[in-house]
Formats: sequence, structure tokens, C-alpha cells
Amino acid sequence: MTGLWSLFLTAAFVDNMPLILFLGLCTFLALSKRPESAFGLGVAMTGVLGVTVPLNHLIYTGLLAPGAWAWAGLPALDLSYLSLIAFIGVIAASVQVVEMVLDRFFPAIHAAFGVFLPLLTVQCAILAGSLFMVERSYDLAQSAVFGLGSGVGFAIAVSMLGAIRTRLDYAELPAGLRGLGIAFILAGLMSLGFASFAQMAAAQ
Amino acid sequence: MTEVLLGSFVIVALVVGLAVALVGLRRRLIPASGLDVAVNGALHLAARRGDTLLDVLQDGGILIPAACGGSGTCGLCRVTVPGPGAGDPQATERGVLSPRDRRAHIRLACQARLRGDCAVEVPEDALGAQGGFLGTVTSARMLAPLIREIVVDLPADHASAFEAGAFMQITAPPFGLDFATLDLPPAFRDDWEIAGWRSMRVASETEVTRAYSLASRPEDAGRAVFVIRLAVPPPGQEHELPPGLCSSWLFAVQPGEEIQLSGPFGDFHVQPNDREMVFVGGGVGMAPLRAMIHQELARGSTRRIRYFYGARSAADLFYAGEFATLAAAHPNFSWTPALSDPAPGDRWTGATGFIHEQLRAEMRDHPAPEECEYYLCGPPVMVSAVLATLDRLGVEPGSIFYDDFGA
Repeated sequence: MTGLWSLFLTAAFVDNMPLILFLGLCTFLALSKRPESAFGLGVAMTGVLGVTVPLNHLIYTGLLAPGAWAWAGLPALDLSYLSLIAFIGVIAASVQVVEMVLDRFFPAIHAAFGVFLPLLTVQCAILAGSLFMVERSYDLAQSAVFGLGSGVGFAIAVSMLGAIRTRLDYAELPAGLRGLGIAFILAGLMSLGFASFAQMAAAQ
Repeated sequence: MTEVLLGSFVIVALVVGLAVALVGLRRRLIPASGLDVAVNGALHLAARRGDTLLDVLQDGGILIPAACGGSGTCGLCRVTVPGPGAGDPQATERGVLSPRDRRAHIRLACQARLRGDCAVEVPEDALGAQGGFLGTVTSARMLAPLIREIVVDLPADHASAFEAGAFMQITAPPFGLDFATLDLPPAFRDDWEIAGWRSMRVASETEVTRAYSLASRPEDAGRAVFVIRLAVPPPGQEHELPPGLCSSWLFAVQPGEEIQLSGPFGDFHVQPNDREMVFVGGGVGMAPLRAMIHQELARGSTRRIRYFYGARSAADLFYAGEFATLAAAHPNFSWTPALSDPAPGDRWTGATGFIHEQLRAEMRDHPAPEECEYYLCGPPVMVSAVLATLDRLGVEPGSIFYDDFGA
């Protein structure tokens, strides 16, 4: 249990997707203008990562990994080269589900996403979650915790950036820094802050 | 071989399984049950979740105007939707509707997708349009190389005493047109050959509806007069980009043919007061201004009326003789055409330059330009230049009325 909790914290803070690994920056910057849409993105990312990583784990270990077909008398069979296309298929379906759920129950958040919700299908942070799961040889429980932790970490980072950018509406910024300029600087400063979590992990 | 077959099977099974799961989930989450759209508290229309409000209203015979064909740019299809059934305003609507409009629950019908039952309030004139009607073309003639006047006889039971400044919608049926087959007057043939417009082709597989201002005068009672500009692609792109669908069809209609119309609509009208009026137009922005000026003068109005009209060359200047005659007959009316690029053969002795420069030159000497009312209609770039000029003259926005769609 301690190991899973540690994995969750590591995924959320030490290996934070946008701020440490710099993954998913397009939606991270585009949807952090308002706290509501930032929080909505965080929830959607948590949902999609939390579902797709364990689901992809089942598909990978059950169908694609080397030796997955040993029970059928094919111990040498290796379909892992199909991982990418299988993972993307599962992610696309999960995003569709999230889109339908938001459209039905949270239309305001659905409208705030606009074109960025379907774009979650090709969001690098979401695909990276499944690829890391394979690379790090997580089991099912670890995959679920890692996916959830990565999503929560993304949600925390994007909500923080959204909150700070809202406060910037009242700041007198130089014209050249307004908009994405100051957002990049803020993301960089937050990244420095999150880098300190790695030091804490190393100290342990 | 086993690896290839098994790999293909796994991927196909995965994709089919996901698709089946998604279809099942969609049926459960987004049921295709019928929705009810209550129009002005009286009429009830059936709709499905995801339909646009514009489609539902138009299918129900309520012809809400939409000059842009439903892309959310013209801002004409305004309706009031107080409830949540049509969702929240889209980003496209926020660009067109003011915060005051949005607080008043005004939506663009073409952008509002139905999510539940809703009540809609539409303008009474849209309800009165009652699904449109057929008019018969009585005359069609070219006024300029790209401008055609079309006069349509309205049905006897259609009220034709509409207010000047209004517009109607014209629906073009599916058609195909080779521009080489158009019968052009000799005066404009050279312009078409040089510009390469004769080689254009256009086809539409569906009906297309667009809005056109009425240029009718009081003596045109019972008829609708349109001044249509053919929307041609930018030079050099005649074969890559199609010309305007509805305007192309209108360039081919002949006397005796029937045209499907709806309307009139619009709120671009002369304000009922005694203030001096200044009209500024360009291109087919002539249409509503012509109607307004004729209506005002026919009423015997004593208001001072000035009309500034900008064209590129003498070939693009139409109705000039008509306005010169009006100016001679009415001491309170003056007409100032200006050519921005007169051709050498024009022998033009009038004003030259852009129309906003001419307006500024004349109104600068006016004792109180801010006391006048301004009516603008023309290409968006002309309207924005005139607005900037009026701002420099100290005219308040509340004294300016303009219409820059479809010019």
C-alpha cells in the first residue's frame, strides 16, 4: 500500500506531466486561461488517464506482450509492435466517452473545451501514460494508480496555472508579455518549483 | 504468418469491440428522443438532440434570416432563448453578440444546438414570412460589370408596402452554370474577357439561401427590386475558388422565371425625426440607401439629405442619372459620386478618391456634423473607413446606422 501511495505521489508531483516531463503543453497552455476550464481539463485528463492506462495494461499483458499467447501454444509470439495503435484506439474511445458524459451532464464544461476535447485523443501526455506503464513494467494496480496520479498531477498543475493567470488580468504587463508570453514564463517558474519535489524524493 | 493473422485479428477485434461499446453507450447517454421547441409561446416544433435551432425553425416554416448560410458570421439569425435547452453560447457567438445581447439571452440560431426542450422567441416578421413564396422575374439587366438589377413581381396577396432598408432572402435551387454561356451586354464583355470571369463554372447540389437588400422605390409597389453583385474569386484564383453560389444563379435568371423569396426582414430603417441625413454607400450598398432616399423624398420630407457614393470607375457607377434627376428636382437633396480609380476613357470631371475622403472634405465645413444622422452601407472596408472618418468629425456612434453584410 505504501508503495502504491508513493507511486501516486511520484506520478503526481515528481514526474508531473506538464511541468517536469513537458508533455501535453498545448492543452495545458490553451485551457488555463480560466480556472473553470482548467479544472475541467484536469478532471477530463484524470478520467482519461485513470481509465486508459489500466485498460491498456490489460490489453498489453493479455494480448500484445511477448509470451501473452503462451496459453495458446504460441510462447514466442510478440505483438508488442501493435501497442501504439492499440493504445491510441483505446484512448480515442475513452475520449469519446468523456465527451459524451460531459455533453450530457456538464454542458458548460463541454462548451468550454471546444475543439480541445477531441484533441485529447492525440494528447501526448495521455499516450505517454500508457507508454510509461509498459516501459516501467507496472502491474495492473500500479498502472491504475500511476494513471490516476498522472491525471491528478496534471489537474493540479493546470488548475494552479489557471488561477494565477486569472489574477494576471489585474496586472499591468508589458504588451509583449501578455497572453502566452507570460503563461510560458509562469509555467517555467512552476516547473522550477515542482523540480524541488525530485530533491525530496532523492532525500528519501 | 500466424503472427500477421493474429495481429490483424487482435486489432480488428479491438476496434470493433470499442466501436460497439461506444454505440451502445451513446444510445444510453444521448437518447434520440424528440424535443419540443416552443416558438413565441404559440407554435410547437419537434426536434432532435443536436439539431441546430436554425434548421428546426426553418424546417418548421419560420424563415429566420441567415445571410451567411449558417456559419455564424452574419449575425442575422438572432433569436431569444431564455432557458438552458439550447446550451451555452459558443465562441462564434461571443464574437458577434455583445455582452448586453448575451445577458438578454439572445443567441444565433445557427450556432445553438439543442440539448433539451426549449422556448424560443423570434421576431414577429419572421413568423409572418410563413415559409416563403414565389415571385416572378419581370426584368433583369446588367448595371455594371459585376452588378445586375433584378425586378421580381410579388404575389398579389403579399404585402408589398415594406419599409425602405429591409432585405429579403432568395433561395437558389440546385444548379450548374458555365459562365461562358451568359449573355452579356456588349459594354461589359471586354471587362469579363480581360478578368477571365467567362471561364468560371459553378455548381450547387443543394438549395442555397442568401439575403439581399431591397432597392425598391415607392413606384415599385408590388415588386421587389434587387441589386446583385456577383461574388467573384480574387484575381488569379478563378479556377481554384468558386464564385458566390446564390449570386451566380441570380446572374443567370431570366424574365419569366420564378424565384423563391422570404421576408422582408431587417431593422436598418430611416429614423423618424427631423435631423439632417447623410447617406454613404459603395458597391451594392446602393440598394437600401436608394430605397430610403426615394421613400424619404416621396414623402415630401424637408429634411436635408446628402448622398455620397463611391465607385471605382464610371463603369461601376450606376443609377447616377436617376440621382442627378432627384437632386435637380429636390433642393434639399444632394448627390456626390466619387470615383477612386477613374479609367482614362471615363472623362470624369466629378470627385475622385475614396468616398470617406470626400465625405470628410465636405462635412469638415459643416457647422455641426455631429448633429446629422449617418446611414452607411457598402463593403466592410468602406464602412470601417467611414466610421473612422465620422469619429474624427466628432460624430457619436448613436447617430450612425450601418449595414455591411452582403455588400
